[in-house]
Amino acid sequence: MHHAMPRGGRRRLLALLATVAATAVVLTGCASGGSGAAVKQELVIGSQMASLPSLDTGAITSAGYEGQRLIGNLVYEGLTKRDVSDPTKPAGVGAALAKSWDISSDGLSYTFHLQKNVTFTDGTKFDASAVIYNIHRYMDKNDPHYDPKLITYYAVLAYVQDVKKVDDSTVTFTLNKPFAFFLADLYNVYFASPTSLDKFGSAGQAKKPVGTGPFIFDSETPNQSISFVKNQKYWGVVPKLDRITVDLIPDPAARTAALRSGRVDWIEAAQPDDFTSLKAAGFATTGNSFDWEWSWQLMTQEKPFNDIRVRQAMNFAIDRDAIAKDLLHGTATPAYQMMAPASLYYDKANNIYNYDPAKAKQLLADAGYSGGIDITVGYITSGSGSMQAKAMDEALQAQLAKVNIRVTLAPVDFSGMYAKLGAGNTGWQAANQAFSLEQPSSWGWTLQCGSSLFGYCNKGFDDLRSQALVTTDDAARAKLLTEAGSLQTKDAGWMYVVNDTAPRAMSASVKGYVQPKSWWIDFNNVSMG
Amino acid sequence: MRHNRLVRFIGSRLLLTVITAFFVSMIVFFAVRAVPGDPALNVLGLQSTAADREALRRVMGLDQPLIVQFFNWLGHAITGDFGYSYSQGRPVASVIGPALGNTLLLGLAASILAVIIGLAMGNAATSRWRGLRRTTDWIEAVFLSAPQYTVALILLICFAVLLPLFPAGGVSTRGNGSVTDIGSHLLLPAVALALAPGAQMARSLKTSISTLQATELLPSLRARGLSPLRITVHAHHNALPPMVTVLGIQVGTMLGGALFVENIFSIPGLGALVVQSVALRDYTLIQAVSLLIAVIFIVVLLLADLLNALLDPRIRVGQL
Repeated sequence: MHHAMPRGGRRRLLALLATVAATAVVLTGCASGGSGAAVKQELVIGSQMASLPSLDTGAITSAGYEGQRLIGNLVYEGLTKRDVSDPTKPAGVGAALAKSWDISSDGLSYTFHLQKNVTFTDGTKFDASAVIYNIHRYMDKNDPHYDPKLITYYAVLAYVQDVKKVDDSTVTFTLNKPFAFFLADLYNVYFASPTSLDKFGSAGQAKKPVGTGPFIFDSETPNQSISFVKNQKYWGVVPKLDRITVDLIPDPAARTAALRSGRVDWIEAAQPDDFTSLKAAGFATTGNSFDWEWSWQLMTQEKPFNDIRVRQAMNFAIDRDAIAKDLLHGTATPAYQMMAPASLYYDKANNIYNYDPAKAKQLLADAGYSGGIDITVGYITSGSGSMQAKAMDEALQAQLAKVNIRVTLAPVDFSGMYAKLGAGNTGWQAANQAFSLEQPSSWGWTLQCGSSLFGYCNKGFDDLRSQALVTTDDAARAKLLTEAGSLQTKDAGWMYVVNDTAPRAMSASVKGYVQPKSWWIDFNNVSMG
Repeated sequence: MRHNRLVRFIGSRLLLTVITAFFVSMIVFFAVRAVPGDPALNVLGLQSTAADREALRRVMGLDQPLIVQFFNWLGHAITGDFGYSYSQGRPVASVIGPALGNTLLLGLAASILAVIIGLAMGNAATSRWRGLRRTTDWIEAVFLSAPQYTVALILLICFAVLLPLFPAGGVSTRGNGSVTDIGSHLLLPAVALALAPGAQMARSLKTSISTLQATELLPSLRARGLSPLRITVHAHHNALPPMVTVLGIQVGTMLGGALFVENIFSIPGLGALVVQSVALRDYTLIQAVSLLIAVIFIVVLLLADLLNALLDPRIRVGQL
């Protein structure tokens, strides 16, 4: 037993200091473990995805289009794809596992000529039998591999009557009714290796997907990250990157921090407010206007928006430039019509609105609302596609107030918005949702008489769209839909605000990436310098 | 006799746990269904037909009366079957497993840190040096009042971005699951979670030690010739049970704080899972996660009580 030191207080202090020192040792010890081994050509992406989906073909889309963009399209391929090879043009339909196709004159029969010498990454040959195996798995209830969950992700397969093998590299799909977007909508009907499915079933695919894509699934840390390695034997252009890792970082501030700290090389959905400082710190920022319509959908059956003049007044009352350039720092482009400039159905001549508050006031007065109007607008507070919804809606609210359009904003979350719209009784005069018009086959819920959740109805528009849905000639179909867009724009069915540019930020070492006019991207030319 | 008492104590607490879990499940079950939202609509999208949504609702079992749904869920939950998560496309159990592991790891790291902070600050606050006491009080006030969300962001910016000592998020570096690697990932979020509970524990320790300092115990121990170290041990022995109780209660605060901290440090834990599952109205997932969080909290409180019984014989024999 020691009796030496008389000063208990000082001893306690020493104990405290020892604790602090021990903590410091722990801290520095930990810090040395921070950096992992570097692979030469590894791209690490910070994604806004909140969770990793099941990795089985169709189920990947349950993580939204992000899942399809950053997981599905790396591992799997469809017969067709979105062609994003030219960054100056809208993304049309491109050849993927089918190198070409013939369409019968009645539009009911599609014969696909498959790429030869394609193998799944487990060595299984991709041929007509593999196509039929997969399609039966999606839609033939009598097939032993049939999985009822998957068909819910593939609305396009409802048009398929039958699929037949012509020879080893040719298959024919017979449709139950003509559908001109068949090729376009097949883009995410992925093909998985029949050998892998035979052995491990859907559950195996969900954990270890085997496709024909440019990358091979490598590993997954549940809801944290997923990585892929280069498919050395890829039938197309073999990627330059050895590895792609996707880290899940749903919080936008955390994404920016991850990029700045070097944890990731590339972030999706970068915050417009961070752009200036990121550029100043030497990061590259990219963006390109794409088919993403951020608008207010007006309830056209109810007062006051049952009067076209009030809808037009909305479109003349807002300063889109201020929103796109000032508020969003150029990460969006002003929208003056229904179709985005990156749409296949865009016509510049349809830009019939501009910033003209005097005209807006006049239109309101003509409609009998010289004292202005009071409206309630529901909007989604957050989510990848809603952009900076709160700030944007508040800016619009202030602009509209200048012409006596008094807006009450009703914030809801994504599920709340869906529930209200689905139930059909929102109590709002308009809703702010952002979406893509890339798939005209699914415009019904926004734009079709009788099924539009916003009450929009224009018989002329519906006729043009119905015709387009069965017109297999690309140019003729585009013309019909351009005309439909012109009608909707003249109707002022929505208050058109901006189109998104899918802002990204990346480190200077990412080379060769040119952002297409699309939500879809490919990593063909990307490398790390 | 004493043994019996302890067994009865544990038994009654476990019974209480089951009852509490039942009521938590029931309240959460009916509360989330009162919030507008349709899980089938979330899965199928607005372009789906009403008939399709109704069919999926049938598959999900949402077409039945609420009370039937609840007992259906309860019946399965008792057998360990927590159902299928439609937003994640896999069974609930397989979603929760890894998340639970991450949150427990983070919670453990934060608890250890909180104890260290509590001991260090509690001692500093009762130091003989006035300056140190004052500074500690000031730091304690900051720790107690700083919102975890802000603390997490500041730590992230300071120690992962400006001064890149630690990784900016995640649980581990891919391909590296070593203890130091995981430790370096968890340190910042654990600090963000530990500050307030640590300060609370410091307060408790400070009160105990000051109370003790006002008595004749310490001088008499010193008079009996005990070394200062032994005296410190005695002083802390008395102060420990209240500290353990505070820590147990603070675990609740940490579980709440994990909601924000896990998001900022992109740690896929239970907190992040609650946020996601509520946003997507994934009823089965919400049910399971909230039940799990409630059970963790109750079990931690039980463990705290048991630990106190070990530390303090008076509690063990029911004299307090």
